[in-house]
Amino acid sequence: MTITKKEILKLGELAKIGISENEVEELQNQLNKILKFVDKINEPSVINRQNSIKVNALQNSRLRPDQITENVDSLSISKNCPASSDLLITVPLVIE
Amino acid sequence: MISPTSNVSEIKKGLDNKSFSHKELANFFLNRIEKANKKINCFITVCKETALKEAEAADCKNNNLSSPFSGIPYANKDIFCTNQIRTTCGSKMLENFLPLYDAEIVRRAKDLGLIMLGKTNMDEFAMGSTNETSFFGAVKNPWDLTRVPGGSSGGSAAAVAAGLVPFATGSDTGGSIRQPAALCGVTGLKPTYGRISRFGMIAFASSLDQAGFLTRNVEDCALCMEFLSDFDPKDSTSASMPKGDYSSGLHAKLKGKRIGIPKEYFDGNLDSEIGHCLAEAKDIFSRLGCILVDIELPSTDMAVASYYIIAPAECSSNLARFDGVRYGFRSINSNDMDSLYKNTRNEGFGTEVKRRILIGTYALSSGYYDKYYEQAQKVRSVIKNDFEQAFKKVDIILGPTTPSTAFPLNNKARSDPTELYSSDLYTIPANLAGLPAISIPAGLSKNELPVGMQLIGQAFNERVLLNVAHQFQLHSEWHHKIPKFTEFCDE
Repeated sequence: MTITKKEILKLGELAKIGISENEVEELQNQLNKILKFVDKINEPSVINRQNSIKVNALQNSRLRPDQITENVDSLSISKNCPASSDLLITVPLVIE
Repeated sequence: MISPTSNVSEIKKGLDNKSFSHKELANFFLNRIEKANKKINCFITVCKETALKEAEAADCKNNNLSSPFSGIPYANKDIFCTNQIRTTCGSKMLENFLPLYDAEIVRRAKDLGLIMLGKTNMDEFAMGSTNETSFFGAVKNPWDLTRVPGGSSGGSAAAVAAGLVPFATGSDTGGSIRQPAALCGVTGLKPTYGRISRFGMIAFASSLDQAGFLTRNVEDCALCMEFLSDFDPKDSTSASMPKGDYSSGLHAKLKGKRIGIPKEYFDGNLDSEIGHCLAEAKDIFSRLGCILVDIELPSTDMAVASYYIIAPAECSSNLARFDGVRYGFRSINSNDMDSLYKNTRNEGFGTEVKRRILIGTYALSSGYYDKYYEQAQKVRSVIKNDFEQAFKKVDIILGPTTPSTAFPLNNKARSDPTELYSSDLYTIPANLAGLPAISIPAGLSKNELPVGMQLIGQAFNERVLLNVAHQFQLHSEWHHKIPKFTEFCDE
């Protein structure tokens, strides 16, 4: 399995990471090396081994009661924003 | 007299005897940090002012706290949120981030009277095994300043090794506590998954991440476990299991304990000098009355590949929160929301982090999910099953922590991103299976570099794990060895 240049750009879209044209080739080369490395898990010997045991789901995490326990005040939160105005987070225009 | 290599109990004794004050103690370590950090870069933030203030307050209180930790200096890996103290996770993305709360482990430490001296350097978002992916520059190994300290908790390991703090926290997703502990010659414990709260520990791969400790010896690990681990309702994966009295269990005799030696851990991948050190360690255990049992962990060779799908897949989801909107870095080169997200994440993340997000996105995307993510989860079950079978025959599993000793710094020469992945070969299986594991010093190579031995225990049975590790330290001297670099900080 290899990743194409088109797929690299699609991944950038999905992961919201800007990828410039001149980075695509290097990234394609590196990600294909990683894919080759991890493809080992698809070898027939592994699939045979896994078929011989019961595959259990990992332990489920627990939900806590739906109750407010502690809260940080809005002003402190907005102070942590890269751009804010009073208690509002400022972002570029979303809808024209 | 304060010694840079004293353990927690020795320091506490000095405080209780009034051999030195809390302020003198804090100043002693802060001065060492100031000297050493210029050379080995193991701290991202030093909290001199707050630490001295807390030490002065402890002196005034006359320190009658019953906690064995009151007034003890320590450091936190910069992955743990600290209220209004910069928490960077080794990334430009969080270069100026001031959290609004303390991580649970930090809160507990404060309540116990521990004094935080600073935040230690780490691979960016804990992704790396050399500390070279940190936005704040690589950490250097105190045993040889031209070599890596390991990672991702390399700053914590180097700080303990150089005698800058008695102990430090770390996090371990695929070996990030044990591998740097081995390369820096200190003791590093990754407890069972769920044993210590992950609340406020910046998430990398949530089904694998576990907080733990880098210390001078196993005794200090036992103390840390006793006082800093517990159930936390704020972490949905925190285990509601009674915590043990680990210190009292350290002294049990090992006669009759069955120690498993997996043949897959002693194959051609292992450096012969490490093999030699572990052979000596096995002899020590035999002399202590342990029974060495040959076992098999047949899926070991699949662990690394499976990890490098699961961890990136989880990281691609966890790191989606860093988008430049609510906190952290925001790119100034953006006119609309889409370019704000893309430019922020392109400029804010380093190369390794971006690679892992992209490969994780690929493994989770339509058409590839079954082949990669689901298959990796199945392999994970097979690996877990291997351990379950092995633990029917043995109490503890013994192996190397790393395939080699510390290797030279030089990330630019590593063009293949997978080149270092195999260095986690022996540590990753315990994360995939959620088991507790510890790395303890077990020798020095001919060129004076530390060798680590890994012991893996059964889930939630840290008591036996720490007992076995402590008995080894009672009958070996390797954990007392210190790098010559510590002398530089004495001057």
